[in-house]
Amino acid sequence: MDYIKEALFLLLHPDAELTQIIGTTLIMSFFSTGISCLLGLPLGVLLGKGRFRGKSLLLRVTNTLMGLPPVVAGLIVFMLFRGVGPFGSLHLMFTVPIMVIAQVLLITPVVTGLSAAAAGEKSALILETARGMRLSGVKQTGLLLRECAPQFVSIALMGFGRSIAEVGAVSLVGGNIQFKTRVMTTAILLESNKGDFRRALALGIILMLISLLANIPAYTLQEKMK
Amino acid sequence: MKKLLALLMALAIILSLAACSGSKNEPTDPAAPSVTDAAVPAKTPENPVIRLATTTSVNDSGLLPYLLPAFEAKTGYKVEVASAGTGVAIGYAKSGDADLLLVHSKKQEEAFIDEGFASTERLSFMYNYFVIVGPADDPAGIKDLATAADCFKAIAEAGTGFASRGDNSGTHNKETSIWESAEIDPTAESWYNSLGKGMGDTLTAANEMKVYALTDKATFLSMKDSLPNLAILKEEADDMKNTYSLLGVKADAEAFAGTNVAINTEGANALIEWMLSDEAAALIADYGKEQYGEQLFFLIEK
Amino acid sequence: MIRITNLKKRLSADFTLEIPSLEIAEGERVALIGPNGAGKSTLLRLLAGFISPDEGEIDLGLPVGSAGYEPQQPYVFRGTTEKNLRMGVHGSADVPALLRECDLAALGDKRADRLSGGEKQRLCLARMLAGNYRLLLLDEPLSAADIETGERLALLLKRHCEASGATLLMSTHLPQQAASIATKILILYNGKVAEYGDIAALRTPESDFGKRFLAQWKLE
Repeated sequence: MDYIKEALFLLLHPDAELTQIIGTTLIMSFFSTGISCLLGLPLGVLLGKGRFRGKSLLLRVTNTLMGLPPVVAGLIVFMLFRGVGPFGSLHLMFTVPIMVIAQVLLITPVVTGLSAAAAGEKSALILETARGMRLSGVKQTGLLLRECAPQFVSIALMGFGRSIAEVGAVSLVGGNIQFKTRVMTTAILLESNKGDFRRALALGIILMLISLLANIPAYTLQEKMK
Repeated sequence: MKKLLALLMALAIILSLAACSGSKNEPTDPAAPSVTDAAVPAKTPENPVIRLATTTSVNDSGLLPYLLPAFEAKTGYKVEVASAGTGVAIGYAKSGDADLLLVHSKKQEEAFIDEGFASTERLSFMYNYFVIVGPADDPAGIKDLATAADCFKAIAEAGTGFASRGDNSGTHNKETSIWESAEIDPTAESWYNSLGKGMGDTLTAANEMKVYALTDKATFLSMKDSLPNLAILKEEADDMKNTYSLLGVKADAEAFAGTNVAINTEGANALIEWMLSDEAAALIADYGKEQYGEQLFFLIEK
Repeated sequence: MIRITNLKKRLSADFTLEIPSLEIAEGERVALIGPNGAGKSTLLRLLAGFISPDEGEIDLGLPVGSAGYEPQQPYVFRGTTEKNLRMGVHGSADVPALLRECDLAALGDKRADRLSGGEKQRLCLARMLAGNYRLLLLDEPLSAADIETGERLALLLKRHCEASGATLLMSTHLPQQAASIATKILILYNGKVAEYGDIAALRTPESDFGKRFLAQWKLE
């Protein structure tokens, strides 16, 4: 109980560092999830409904990438964007954008794979019915997306959950710099490493509160869609 | 439902705004210094960001957050401290993503210099003591032994357990060299736990398992409250010094040729100069006195 | 006039749909009959343009897009029954009347995914009727209805086609349904047209077609 009280106290009386941490976390997760969905949802739908050569290979690659360990995603992005790396001239190391890039690499396959599964399951029936009704191609695709929308909300939420709770990739490319790239998870890691378990746990509770806050409207939205 | 969404959006916007304004309070942009006169730097550096790569153990002890604001207020520089394991910290420097290093691992520092990455020699400027911590009843009886190597021999003989970081960090390298001078290879022994974790996690594990561990004193003291099963059993032996060094990164290192790596040599030198100054020395000597009642870091005589 | 010439569509190693020649005049209502796997759905999908023949030609005598097709398992979309029905409207349609005629008037505001199997099928039929198609291709549109309802919907379908002059091809397993809707019977067996003839012939079972029809029917 004490920890929850402390978490609430921290949340109500945030210091400059905590405000920055929560803000950076939200901004990072918002963009990671948003970009991953912009890339992954259409890709997943194409993959799910389409019939083309190499589809099963692509699906297998996607499923493999879904299990990409966060540290490996971080490592790949680090090798590409470090000063001596091929994209070093962009000078993105230790910034929020590079944390977003690493997370997009991590989350896009998950979004793609899940939306391919969601669209694939029903796309044949939906498209045959819509085509039989002589709806235009645009309307057919629109209907398919509309039918899958509740699952897409779940998928986006999962992406957000993965983004906000991920530490391996962001700590490697972000460097956990105070007032710059420190996010909830790297802060929790730092505090627990310092032995300040109270603050670490309080931060953890705040993290879960944020997840909960994101879940409530998403759930309501989903219910409404049915 | 829409209200809830709007509320959440509003919350997100407020928080991010707060975050932005929060970071603007920091001297990130010396071109637009804050109005408080004392904080106005004498001159504005051309490249105001210094990238310091260091190990988590240095950052965890709280020394840098204590020292750096004084430097930043005085010079207008902004020091970005990226902390990771020693290996990664040196990796950042070798990748051109750090302007200088603050580490405590002689072997790895020398390798860094040999590979042609250093713009300076090893600037060892302070030390603290490693300590051996363990169960308060000291089952291996190390309390009154002369050196760390003797203690390790006793721990091996008793076989009651030892927790090692096992992460190739500065502390781990120090531990390995003590085992070497004790002429013991503990890695295959059942009482030896190689964790592959940071200092804090290793101490937490040692506390749970009630075994011995090697740690830097500052980290142990800062965590003491959550480590009720552990006590300092051996400290201040000659072979337990933990020396911290600064190393500048060479802007024209061979590995950087043909890349766009930009090392802020001027900034790195300014920070090194300040860290070696009397002003920093006084701050370092005072560090920990208030919180722990004793001096944690000692200056190396020049 | 629908005209099929030298049609061949191979679906698997042991199944090929082969129709050397078939003509269906405008306004006819054809009941497709045959055991499972005889090629009924394949023929309907070929006519709908969802798959193309390996050989031969299909001439619908209609512009593309003027044929409505309902698959064996039509999909009901998210939203209410009425909203689903409105999705099928091309041109003008009396939606309340359609709801009433298909026993859906009380279910107009209900979520379509919560309808029973029979209700869903009635909705999908109503959605087809709302489309004002000149050719209707329906794959077992009444399979989930009980006998009484099936009869009534069959009559509705018949009246609709008579009124609009639309051509109808529907597959069914029930001879009564076929008899109450169709003007012609097309019996498919193992990928080939076993019989194709006027429904009137059935009423004179002593005719060759009537005898053969009854013989074929026993095959099922």
